[in-house]
Amino acid sequence: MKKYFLYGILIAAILSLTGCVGQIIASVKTLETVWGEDNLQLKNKLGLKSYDGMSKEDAMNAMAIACQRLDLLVENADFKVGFIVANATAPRPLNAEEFEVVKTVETPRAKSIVPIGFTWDVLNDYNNQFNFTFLETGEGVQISIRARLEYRKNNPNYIPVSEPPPKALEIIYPKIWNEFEKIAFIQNKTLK
Amino acid sequence: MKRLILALIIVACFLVTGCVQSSPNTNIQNAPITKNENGNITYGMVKKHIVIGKTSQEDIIKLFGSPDNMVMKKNKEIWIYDRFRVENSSSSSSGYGTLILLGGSSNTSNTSTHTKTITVIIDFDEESIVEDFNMRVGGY
Repeated sequence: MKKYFLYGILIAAILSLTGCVGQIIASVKTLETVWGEDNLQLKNKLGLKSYDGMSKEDAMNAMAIACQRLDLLVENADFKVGFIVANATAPRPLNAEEFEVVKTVETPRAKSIVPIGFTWDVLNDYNNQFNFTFLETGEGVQISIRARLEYRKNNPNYIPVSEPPPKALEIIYPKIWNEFEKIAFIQNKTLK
Repeated sequence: MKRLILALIIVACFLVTGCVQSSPNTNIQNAPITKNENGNITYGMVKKHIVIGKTSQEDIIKLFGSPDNMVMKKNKEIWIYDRFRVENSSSSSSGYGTLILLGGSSNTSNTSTHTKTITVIIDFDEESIVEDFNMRVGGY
């Protein structure tokens, strides 16, 4: 009788644990979807810009320097095709103050979707990866930026996300454009 | 004797404070442009104080301090000032009412950070007088 009782408790515990884990996985996926939807809107709104009178080569040079100045490491670039891949340990290119803003804004929503286990402490295990593409247009160049999170560690007990917090992108996109435009302005006035 | 020492200390204090106060006043009177102590640059300052063909490198240093970058091109100098200013703002509102009866409360806070950047490129002629200047104001 006692044996059956113990088996019963064990089975109940396993079922409750797997249910809990399943619930956490589902909630992380929901968070990823919610952030992804917001990020798509942000990308359409802030992630694309056209510059008339600027060559693709000048734009790529300026963006490569802008990346360096923002602590983004250029990992790959093809000046012929027109792309740059750059990354940095998250939360860079955000500084500490900007990241505090992201935490303040995003934590309530994130915790409401993922009530168990959500934390910013693992953020340093992620890379912020940025893909820049440069398209020649009749008048100049069109640049688009796509951002995603890349989990660097191999932790089977952790469910990683790939969408950055939307508030982070809301700050990062304009920050990148501002740096790029500044470098392009300086290069235009000093190198020619 | 004690009074004499006390009087000497008071006189010394007056002399020291007098020195400290008089020094910057003399500088301001001699300088044509007021020195910008914190190195802040604004669009208005640049427009107001930089005059093509008149403003010298000395005036620019008094205004904005040392440049952040310098370029020498065909014996002419180009100075670049690249500055930024961070503005933080936060507002919060708390909502209580029926929610608190259910054992909860709602708190919303809006925090934002705004960085303003200004880039000034100043071209000098061979006599170190401003030949041209360009400015870009940005932010995020």
